[in-house]
Amino acid sequence: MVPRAVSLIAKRRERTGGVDAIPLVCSWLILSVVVALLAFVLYMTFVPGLPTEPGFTLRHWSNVASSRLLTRVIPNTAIVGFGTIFIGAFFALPLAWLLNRTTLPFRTTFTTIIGIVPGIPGFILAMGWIMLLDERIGLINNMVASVLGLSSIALSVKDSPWGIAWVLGLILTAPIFFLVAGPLCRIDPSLEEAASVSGMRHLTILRRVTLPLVWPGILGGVIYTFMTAVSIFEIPALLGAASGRVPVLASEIFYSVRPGGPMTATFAYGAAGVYGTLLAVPSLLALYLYLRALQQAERYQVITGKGYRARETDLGPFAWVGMAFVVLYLSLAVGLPILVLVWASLMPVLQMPSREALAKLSFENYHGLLEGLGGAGVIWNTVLVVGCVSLLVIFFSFMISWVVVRTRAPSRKTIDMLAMLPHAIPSLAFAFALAMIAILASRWLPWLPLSGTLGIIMIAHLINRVPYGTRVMNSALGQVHRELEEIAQVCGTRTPTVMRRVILPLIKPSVVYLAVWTAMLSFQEVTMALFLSGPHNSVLSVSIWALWEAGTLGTAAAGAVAMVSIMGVLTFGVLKFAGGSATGFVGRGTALPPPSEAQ
Amino acid sequence: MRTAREVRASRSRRVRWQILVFLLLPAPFVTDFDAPQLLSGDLAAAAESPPKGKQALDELVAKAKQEGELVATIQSSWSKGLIQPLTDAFKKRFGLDIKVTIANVNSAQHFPLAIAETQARAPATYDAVQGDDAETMQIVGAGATQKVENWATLLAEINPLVRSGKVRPDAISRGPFQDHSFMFMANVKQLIYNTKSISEKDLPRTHRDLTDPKYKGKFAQPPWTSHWEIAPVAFDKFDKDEWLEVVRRAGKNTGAVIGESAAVQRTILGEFAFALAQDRYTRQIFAKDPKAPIAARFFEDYNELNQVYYSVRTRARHPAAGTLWVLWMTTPESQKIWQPSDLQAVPYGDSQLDREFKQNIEKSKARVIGFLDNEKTRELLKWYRTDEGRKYLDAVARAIRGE
Amino acid sequence: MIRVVNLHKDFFTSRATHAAVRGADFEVNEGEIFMLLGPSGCGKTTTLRCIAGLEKPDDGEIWIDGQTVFANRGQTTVPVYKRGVGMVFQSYAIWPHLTVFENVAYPLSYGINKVPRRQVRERVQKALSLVGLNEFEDRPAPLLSGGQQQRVSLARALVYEPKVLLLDEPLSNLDAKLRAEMRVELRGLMKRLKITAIYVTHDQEEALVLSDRVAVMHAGQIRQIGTPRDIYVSPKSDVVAGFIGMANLLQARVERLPVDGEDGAVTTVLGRLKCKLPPPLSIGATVTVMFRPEDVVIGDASSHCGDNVFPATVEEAIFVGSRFQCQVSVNAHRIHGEVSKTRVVTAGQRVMVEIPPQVIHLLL
Repeated sequence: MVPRAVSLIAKRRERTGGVDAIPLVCSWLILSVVVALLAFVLYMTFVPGLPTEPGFTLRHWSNVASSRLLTRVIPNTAIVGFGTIFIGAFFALPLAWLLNRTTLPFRTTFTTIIGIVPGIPGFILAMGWIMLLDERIGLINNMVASVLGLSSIALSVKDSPWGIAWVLGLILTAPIFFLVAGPLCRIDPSLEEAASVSGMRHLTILRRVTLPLVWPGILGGVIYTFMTAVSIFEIPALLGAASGRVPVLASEIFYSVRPGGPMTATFAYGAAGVYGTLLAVPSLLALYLYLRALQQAERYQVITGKGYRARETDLGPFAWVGMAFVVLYLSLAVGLPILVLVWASLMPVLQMPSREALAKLSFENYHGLLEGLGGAGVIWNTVLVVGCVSLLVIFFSFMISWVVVRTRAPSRKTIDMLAMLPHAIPSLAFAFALAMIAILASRWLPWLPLSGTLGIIMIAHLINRVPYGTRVMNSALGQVHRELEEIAQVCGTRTPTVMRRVILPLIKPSVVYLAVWTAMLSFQEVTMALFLSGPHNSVLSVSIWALWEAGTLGTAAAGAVAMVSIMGVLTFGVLKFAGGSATGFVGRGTALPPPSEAQ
Repeated sequence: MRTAREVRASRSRRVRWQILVFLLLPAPFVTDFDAPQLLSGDLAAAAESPPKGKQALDELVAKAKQEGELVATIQSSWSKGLIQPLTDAFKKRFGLDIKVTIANVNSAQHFPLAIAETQARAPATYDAVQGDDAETMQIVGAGATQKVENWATLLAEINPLVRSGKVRPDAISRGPFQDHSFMFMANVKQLIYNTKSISEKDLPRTHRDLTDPKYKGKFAQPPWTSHWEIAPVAFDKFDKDEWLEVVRRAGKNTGAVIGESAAVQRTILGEFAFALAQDRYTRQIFAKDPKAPIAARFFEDYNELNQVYYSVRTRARHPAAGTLWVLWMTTPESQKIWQPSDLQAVPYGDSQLDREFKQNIEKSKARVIGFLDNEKTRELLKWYRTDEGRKYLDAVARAIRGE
Repeated sequence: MIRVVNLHKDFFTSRATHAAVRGADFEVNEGEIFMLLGPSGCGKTTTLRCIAGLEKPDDGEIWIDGQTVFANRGQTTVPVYKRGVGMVFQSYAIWPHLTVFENVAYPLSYGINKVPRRQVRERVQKALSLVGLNEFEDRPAPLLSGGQQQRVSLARALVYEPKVLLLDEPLSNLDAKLRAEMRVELRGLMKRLKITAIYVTHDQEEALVLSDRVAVMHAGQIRQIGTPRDIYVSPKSDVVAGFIGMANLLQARVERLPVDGEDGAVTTVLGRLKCKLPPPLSIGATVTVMFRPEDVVIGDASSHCGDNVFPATVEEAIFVGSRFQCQVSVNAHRIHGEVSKTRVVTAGQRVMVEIPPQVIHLLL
């Protein structure tokens, strides 16, 4: 017995001490913040008034459990969620195949453009689609109606959960694309080659061999995107939730936070917390399914060695069909909305395109744009936030993934799950938990600058992006052969040096990709930044939103055009500079992570 | 050697610990704060005589210099290009060489946080904040604003209109807001319509007409309650529940619930026939495009006069600087800077726009009601601060969305 | 130089616990090339990794150069990066993002073996010349062939002049001819540098060529330690015998004990065999006897007189270049034999098989 106890102690010491301490500490640091925020959100649901007041009540829960919730909010949310992934997958799966496994021309360019889609602010795209597809003013409606000789086409993107699903689906095609492309590229080629040798035709191979091998990866990507879809609020709000036509869970949170605007100046924090929790439930379920799908996904993967490349199908004469599909998607998701944006920026007062409207085109909105957006200070703030968030996300994701993938720490599975948690909780709930905590901090810890600073926006963004960051890093780290690390240790270097000199250079493509992706999403994030805004921390996305909300649509559009252009140029530039394109990232590190090493 | 179960158990124990710690963390911060009641009665304050005024002002300026900084808000709809001119003019006026930070802030969003700050006894993010009647009522009632000592004297020193006697101090700060909040701007709610989509005679005459099925989906209104909240004092016979039902039916009829300016934009676009908005939008649009197909009209039953006030925050970090700002923003000097672009009126001002604003109302013989007009309206305002009143407003806000 | 005492290591999987190493004991002298030989899964790689510090044993003690690197169940332990050993993996583990020079320079540029900048170049070039790769200094690592990568790996392990070199099947990934060449080169190099080495392999030919002493491992335990010749000629168990070279193993019963210079005899399925029997045996005891195929004399049906001669039929004769490997059946029992390439042997041929008593070895 005694020798056993001694060996147990020895084992524990071996696992938690030594060089693995730093990644472990960093991981628990960030995850403690996550858990604290979640606990705070939950706590808010039981407090009658502001979280600074005491008390306990179940009133919030009973208030929310109304029939409206069951007959309208939840069904709408379900339609939006499933509709989005249906449409997203409809585009993303063929695109993933076309742009990664065939000989389609301009693949790299297309992939990079798809990578930019999530960087366009959602409300811009929604607004664009209102102008395109609306029973009264929709450009598409009017064109089709005049062609068919009808007075109008009763198809609106507004006021219907399907319209919301359409727009969201177009936007979220990109994440599904990237999450699926990885596994698609890393299928063991011998499996497909065997089928080919035995005489199967291309399409049959695709259907019978490739698809079954990749479906866990697809499932994982789809589940992940479902969780994203049900927690987005701006787009449903614009397309019907604001009018109460199509309430979804995400908008319910927002409106419990700002119920009527001015008069009802006390937030129904409790209600917001309840909705947030309600949203978390299906998300957590989805999360569980997602992690299960992961375990299956990597069974058929190879670890990419030197010079490995998956087979590419030559499309031959059907290349034009593929091109048409890609161009169609890009037009719908990027082209048309951007055109609308440009149009809005060139009109002093937004009007539908017509002959007399064309006469009013001018660059007036671009004059004094910088000042209108808040000056160089706002630009600097944005650069600072985006840069720091990128670096922090990479750092913490790396630390967490290191613990999960490279160590044998007993808590690593818990850490992996906790790292995914923020994705299940709507970002708005996080944002105002943070806002409340900041207020409390300014009283109790006055030396800690949080409230109204850039720092708190950075924390919010960091927590928001860690789940995706750990997915990318898990996958990237999982692909670095353990022996490369071990031999470095034998050669006399400790873990920090090994991380810096051996591991990081090897996963550089994934790191660059993650940096760019995180930067883009942080750049255009509005909800949290708006909520946490204070006198000193305006960022570009908030400025543009404020302009738009205040009605200076022209300037807002001009600002958005500037924003999207800068982002596009920077993304292209960084990708070129860092060597390779988005396709290079797709092959490595954008896929689901491999199963943990112990198995 | 540990079994898998033991390992799992110890792991979950550790995780539970962490959660427990963080659950307990807010506990020490949650104590009982009382919200001091600051609803003073109606007092008439007269302007004091000049000699004391200058001394008071100098003291205030000296204090502000010591504080060294000012953090204030302006309307979220004001252009950011106004920040530098306002800052420069302000500093020049009082000879202050301090750091001034002005931010565009949506008061509807910020005020609840301001109240939370006050209740948590935390220092205020902003020294001076602006908001309309209803919003200001909330923060004054919650004790989130501080009393400005000697304000009438100071105002007389700072504002030439008050000094010359043209404007009485209680035109600027009165009723429940006396000593705390100072009015500097106002707008009146109006209906703005697209002349191509609908003719003037087809427009709804009263707010109740908005429940008519023929307007279904044809108009937009904002999510805030300013178009409906003053109704209780507009009618002799008023039933709260019945009115709520009216709001709800109108809400179900609404095409979209979006901010006033966005509503106006989309009305010009042709998506809606008309929008519930305010007077300044027509001015702003015509300034950009004189040929825009819009026009404005008053409702026949009532039109809310929406006034905007500045207040100094409780536990402001720079109260003296904040006070100077709040009082200075009532002056014509500051008005000259923001009025040309924002195009809202100052009720006691004497610029051309101000005069047109008053003439317009008089000419149309529209029924314009403001919250500080009389005893009845002031009581309503105070009622809206009570729990019962807040619940009603919450219900109105939800009814606007058709709930 | 290296001492391993009572080494134990278990691995836990979700299903069961697997005891990889169960009580390994051995000592390696300075300058010696020590081989850990055994089939896959016998625990040899685990033992090596324990010595390197890449695995933490559950029990036992390890000394390197007089210093305890592991004892007291981990309470006394020297971390990997401080153990001062060099290692070569089967997969070479060359860092693909560095050139050959950078790969080899790594230990001297960072970490515990760091030397001043100006020395680095000189020592790297010395190491590269040891393995014959000077011209490839600036080549990016992924552009090397397997053999070249292996040499880079070796150079990297030697550049900081470790006292001990650990090699984990370094030649397994090379083709047969290269392997044979490298074997000799490797031994020559290690002897020149007077380096102590522990070498893990499953290839018994490698073990015989390269090592000074061999430890044969099976199922986590060391079955026998000795020089290659000892292991080959006098294996102590059937496991060892079967693993090194080919062996004919027969169950036998002691029939007659040796007395007065006369050999003893045992009964086997082949028949009665005269052989040397070591003392403490009794009549009727069951033993295993072993003799190597190359010691079996296969002759024409007509010739042969001598002990242990049996008529046999050739069942199979496979030409392997230097000789024929035959299977002959004696008394309906097959044994392995060999015949020189100059003679022609065909299946079905009748021959006489002689097993000289001195080549018959007893296993206990």
